[in-house]
Amino acid sequence: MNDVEDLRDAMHSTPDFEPRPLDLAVVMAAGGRLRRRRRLAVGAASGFAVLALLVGGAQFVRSGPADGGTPVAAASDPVVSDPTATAARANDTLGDVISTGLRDDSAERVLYVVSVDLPELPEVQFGIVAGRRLPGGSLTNDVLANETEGSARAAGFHAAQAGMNVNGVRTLTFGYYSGAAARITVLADGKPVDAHHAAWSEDPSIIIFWFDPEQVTPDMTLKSLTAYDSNGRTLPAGDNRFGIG
Amino acid sequence: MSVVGLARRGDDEFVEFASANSARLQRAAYLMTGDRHQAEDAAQAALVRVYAAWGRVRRKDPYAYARTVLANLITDQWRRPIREYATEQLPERPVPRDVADDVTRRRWLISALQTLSPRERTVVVLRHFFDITEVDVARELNLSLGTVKSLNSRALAKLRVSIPSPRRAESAVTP
Repeated sequence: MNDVEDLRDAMHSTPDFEPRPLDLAVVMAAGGRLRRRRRLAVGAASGFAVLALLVGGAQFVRSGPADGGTPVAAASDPVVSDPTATAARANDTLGDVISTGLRDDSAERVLYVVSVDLPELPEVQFGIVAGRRLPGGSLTNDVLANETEGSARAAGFHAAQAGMNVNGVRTLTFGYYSGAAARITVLADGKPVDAHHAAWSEDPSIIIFWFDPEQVTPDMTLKSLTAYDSNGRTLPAGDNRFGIG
Repeated sequence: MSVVGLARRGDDEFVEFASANSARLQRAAYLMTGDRHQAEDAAQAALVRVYAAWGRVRRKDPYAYARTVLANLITDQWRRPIREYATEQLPERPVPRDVADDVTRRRWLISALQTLSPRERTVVVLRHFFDITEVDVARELNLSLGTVKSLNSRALAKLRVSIPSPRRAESAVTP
């Protein structure tokens, strides 16, 4: 007979198998995608629930088609969010939908805030969605980014997400800053680029930013995401690294 | 670009965790599948799920989470239509113990492990490779304690492993 120690010894020193190092960059990229898909699924489910409630109460108001959208803001100029986007209510948004003025074929690129309610993130109540407003007025939810560590409102950058391709759609490079940021910049392949930004209608201390996709493309190396106040002073960075993939 | 360079806050901890445990997870997966490529794929898939849940599990017991995910991933694979079947046919016995060669004995035991049913094999790996209690095995595989005891006992008998005394076997079990 063998004994259990023989078995344990054999299992821990398999003569014909030696583990190999795994590519952790691939693991983390795939894990990040899985995490986002799960959050999008949660967001979609809550969106459907809200839609059902509104339709059930015969109060659902369909918004008119996007009519050209807000012009592209000059760099560092705040963009006025669009308070008429009532269809967004059916998508469980918090506050106004922000029109970027950028278009992708027939859809307008927008950013909006959605609620996040995850037991493992007790200090995170919201996330930023990069999506599109379709001609009928409905919103897509292409990428949701939220803080994953600590408070969603701690001073500094949060949820900075590099642009990527989602189902054939190239998404914006975006995120938000908690604090009085008047200007936000990044080094894209070493070249400084100013972000567009807008204050969240529900809390003006949350500054949502995005970069012109012509100036910041997914293949660029992004460094030194920096916020400045109205006097040009550098503000606390927080988590100014970009999520990728 | 380095992995750490890409990582957001908290990712450093995951890299450290994965670096420390990926070899063990791969070895466990190899014991459960008998195939090196499936083992690497299963270990990688388990780590992907651990990373996806990192914010939730990192302050708890990420290793236990990884272990459970791995076992269930492999068990799910066995539930698919194309599957291997256990056989009662054991490999030829190794040479007697007094002249046993360690490598030969290990190789025989690993070969014999592959003759177990998938559930028996998973229980043996969790119980004797990861060295967790039968109570924990039952919880992680969502089986009753009696089923785990039965599977473990039957598997050890097939492997011709002497059953340890109750005191030795259950010493780590929490009442």
